[in-house]
Amino acid sequence: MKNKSLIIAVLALLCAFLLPLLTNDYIVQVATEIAMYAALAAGWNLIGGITGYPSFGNVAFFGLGAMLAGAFSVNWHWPYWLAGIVAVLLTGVLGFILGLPILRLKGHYFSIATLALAEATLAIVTNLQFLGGGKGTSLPLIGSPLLFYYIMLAIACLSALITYLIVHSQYGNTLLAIKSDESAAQAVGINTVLAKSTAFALSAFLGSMVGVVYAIWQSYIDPPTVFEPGITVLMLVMTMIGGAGTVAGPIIGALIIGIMTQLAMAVSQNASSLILGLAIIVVVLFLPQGILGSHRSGKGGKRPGKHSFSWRG
Amino acid sequence: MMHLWLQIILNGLLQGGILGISALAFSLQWGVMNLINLAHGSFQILAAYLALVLLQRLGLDPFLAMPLVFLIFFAGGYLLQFGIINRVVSGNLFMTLLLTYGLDFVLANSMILLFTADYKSVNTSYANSSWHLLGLQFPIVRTLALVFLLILSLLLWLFLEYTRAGRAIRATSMSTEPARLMGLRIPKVYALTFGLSSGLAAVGGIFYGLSNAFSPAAGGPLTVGAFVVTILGGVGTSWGPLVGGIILGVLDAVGSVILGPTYVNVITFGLLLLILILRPNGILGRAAA
Repeated sequence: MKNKSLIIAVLALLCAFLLPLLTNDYIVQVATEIAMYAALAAGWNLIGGITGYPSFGNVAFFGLGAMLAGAFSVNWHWPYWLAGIVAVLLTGVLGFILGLPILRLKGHYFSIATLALAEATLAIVTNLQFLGGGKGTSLPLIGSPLLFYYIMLAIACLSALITYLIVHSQYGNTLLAIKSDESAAQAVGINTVLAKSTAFALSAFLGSMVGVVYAIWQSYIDPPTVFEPGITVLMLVMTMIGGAGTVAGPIIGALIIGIMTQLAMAVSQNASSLILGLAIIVVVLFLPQGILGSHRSGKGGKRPGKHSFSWRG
Repeated sequence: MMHLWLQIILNGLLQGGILGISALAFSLQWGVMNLINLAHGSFQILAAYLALVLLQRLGLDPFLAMPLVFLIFFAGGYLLQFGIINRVVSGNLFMTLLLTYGLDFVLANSMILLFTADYKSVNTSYANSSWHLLGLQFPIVRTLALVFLLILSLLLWLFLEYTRAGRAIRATSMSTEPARLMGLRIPKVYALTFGLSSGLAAVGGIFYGLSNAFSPAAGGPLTVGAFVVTILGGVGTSWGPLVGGIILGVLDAVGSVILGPTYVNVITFGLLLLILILRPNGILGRAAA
């Protein structure tokens, strides 16, 4: 079983590596986006899938990575790699600090708080002149489409590797314990606050890294694009379709949604989002555990018979 | 100067009416079924388009069309809950979020296909006029929205408190298992709740369409606004939306004058985060457990 997974992983990586030799620019462009979303979804999976805290605001980290790296390189004339590293580290630390209060919330409240976090970050970024304000930031055109394909592929592999290492470590068991029953985890002496915030920070770290590369790939970024709430939703839909909490789930989900979006756009440019919406509904109704299934399914917010809010008049 | 501030606060107060009607529907779904409906805003925009079509094609005034739109949305909401949402509503919380998000996608994009992405508004003779009283301006639509919010909150409270169907909804909201053992059919109670809140959302949508230009993309911000107001006022209370709507309306109005209109979202979401962390059950709600 383990060998089989390894063989599949190596084969998939080989295909991805050789892909640009066999196809045209359009396919490479699509493949770059798929790799990008696989990495973003894997980052989301760390907090939403493995830890069981469905974040609706992860796009904040993607956006912050892009805007911060852009601002450092344009305003302070830092080389882009340095700007990128500092942006990623800052976003990771911010994720840890923000995680401390926000991860105390549960269920809907956590989801709404993260949604508000993303919107508040967008509003603050839009108002800061240093970050380009509402106008956006232009970056120099460097690299080639092929280079960015390989960079995104490398980040996607890195996120899969991080996920693999976490899932197969003591830390992964800690997160799984939190997902299954947080108070029990606390009772046996697990520092749940530290564990959850670390997962949130790792999630922020990966999201920000993708954002940094996205900014220089696109060479022009503005806040509404990089803080688009739909990006968060894509991350979580992809993870859910592939199988939340698994290593390969986000990658499979990104492949399926990525290819499906292209097919839908080929059928009708206008109706492609409509088709995506219908796909989400079908997945929820008929494939609620994702393609890889969830043998690791925790409680994950299973509704108790008596829930915590009711009509109080 | 004093007068100007009074007018600004009044504008915020009246804006609370539109925010409150929207939140009344949102809070009912949330309080009774523990369901966060991410398609809520798109329901409202759809109702605004329906009112627009009825006005343009049949010359039907939006206020006269209101009962009809309410009934259409009640029926649609009932069927949607009964046929689709009930299948996931008692499972993982996250699935209902995802389902309603998919629904929102479908609604918003269908509206783009049907009505284009351009901004529209429901233009009636009174849409932009105001009543004048004590030297202050009372925009007609917003003032009526606040009056409607008061009446609807009262009616909802009476319905839930004193009718058989209302008691069934409250019993189910407290605990599904005993309610089922008492012979209530939970799927039907849920369908009734969703139908009712869809109807309320539609009424809010008509008011929104009368006082704002709208496009299919306006649904998202409306949903988030309903979130904030519901959290401010407390989930699952008849009077919370009124309190939350007025607080948010006044804060936004005053904030956008003091800090500039671009800071309105910082205020709204900053406030939401603070309240969630400090008092997750809202201002009228019980203290955090």
